[in-house]
Amino acid sequence: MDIIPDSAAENLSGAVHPIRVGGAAFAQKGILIMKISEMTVLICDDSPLIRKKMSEILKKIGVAETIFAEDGEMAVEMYRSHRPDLVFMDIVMPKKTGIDAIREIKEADPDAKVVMASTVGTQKNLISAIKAGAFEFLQKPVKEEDVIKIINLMIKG
Amino acid sequence: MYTQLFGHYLLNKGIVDADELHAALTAMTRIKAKLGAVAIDAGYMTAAQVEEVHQAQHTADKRFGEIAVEMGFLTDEQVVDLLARQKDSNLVLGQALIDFGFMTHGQFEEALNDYKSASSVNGDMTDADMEKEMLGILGIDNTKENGFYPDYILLFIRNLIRFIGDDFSLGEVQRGVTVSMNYASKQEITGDLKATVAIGGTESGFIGIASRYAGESLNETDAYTKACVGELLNLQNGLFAVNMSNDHGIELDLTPQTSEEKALINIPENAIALNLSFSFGDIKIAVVKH
Repeated sequence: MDIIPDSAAENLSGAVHPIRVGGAAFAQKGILIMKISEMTVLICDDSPLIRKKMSEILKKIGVAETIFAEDGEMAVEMYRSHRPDLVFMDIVMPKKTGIDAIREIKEADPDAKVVMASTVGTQKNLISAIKAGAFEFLQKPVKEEDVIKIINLMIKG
Repeated sequence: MYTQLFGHYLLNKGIVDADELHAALTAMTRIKAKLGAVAIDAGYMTAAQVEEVHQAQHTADKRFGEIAVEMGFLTDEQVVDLLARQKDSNLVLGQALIDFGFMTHGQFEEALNDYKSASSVNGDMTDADMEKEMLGILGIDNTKENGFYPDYILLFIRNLIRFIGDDFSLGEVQRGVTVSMNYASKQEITGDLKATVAIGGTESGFIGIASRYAGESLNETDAYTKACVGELLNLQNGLFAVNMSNDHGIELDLTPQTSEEKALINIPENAIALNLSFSFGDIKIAVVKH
């Protein structure tokens, strides 16, 4: 039984969260159901502040493991090697933009769940993110409630 | 923004000096406006009446509002209104100056009334009044460069107040010079218009900005501290890009932020470098539209 350790997680749909995913947990365990406490989330952001804050929020919610990438190239490599269940991707990053990184990730795994996270929430970037294959857009500065909403969306499929 | 404008007014009129203003700004995070100052600001009481209530408090263990009502200076409704207004931070600077003994209630009343009548039509300063006054102080012409500088600088000031704090005063505005920053974060704005922007300052200013933004106690200018300041700049530019897209149909992109030590930035005559003095140290914002 999962125990969500914080009142903030009450916004999630119950203490146990069976979800259908196309990520690592699904592939490795050979089952269709997983829990938040088994989720691996990849945070791609060149800012160590954002990586730290996002990681703290995910840990508070009860996510099992967070892994990190500091630029677009590393994001693609990390996705290929770890097949995380969810990805938070910054747009403006060195070496490769988040938009390009999403395209490559989706080519490698059409079922990849990627959330674009950026301060530049313009219509243009929203469209680019959707076209590249992002399933949500997270406006920075990141708020805990917004992350919870996204996890909830994912749970609901 | 009121704090910066009122502080600038007091300094400009010689009512307080720079050291007194800095001391008051430093204390701002620890105090809140007392009911007497709020009552003067609201026009419900004179400074003399406030002093009278304070005197009465020496002999009666009662709250300010209670005594003021008993003395006939305030109604119960006005006390309720003042308690609601007390949460407004606009008066905290004045309260700090009074608490330090740099101003009496009488001087505060006079300065406040003079300031309001000089800065607004009917005594109530709106956000538009404050923004107009801020641009006037900074010498930014709203009609040039398609409003780029006013939009950018006003947003930056609002973001500093929102994410860092209200405890800063306006310093020198520099143009036509090369400015130096001991530590700086820079970012290029590209797309439909191009600009170079930077935020930096002294070591204490840079660390202070990073600490406030991250909500952590940082004490050195390491990679993490630099990233925190860079993220503040990225946030500012991201929000600016959203505003430009929504309000003017101008689409902007950003490059990754870079950090520099002993940065030198050329500020042409039509650009701006703005110096701000926070309670924890000095910072500088440089904005150059190409």
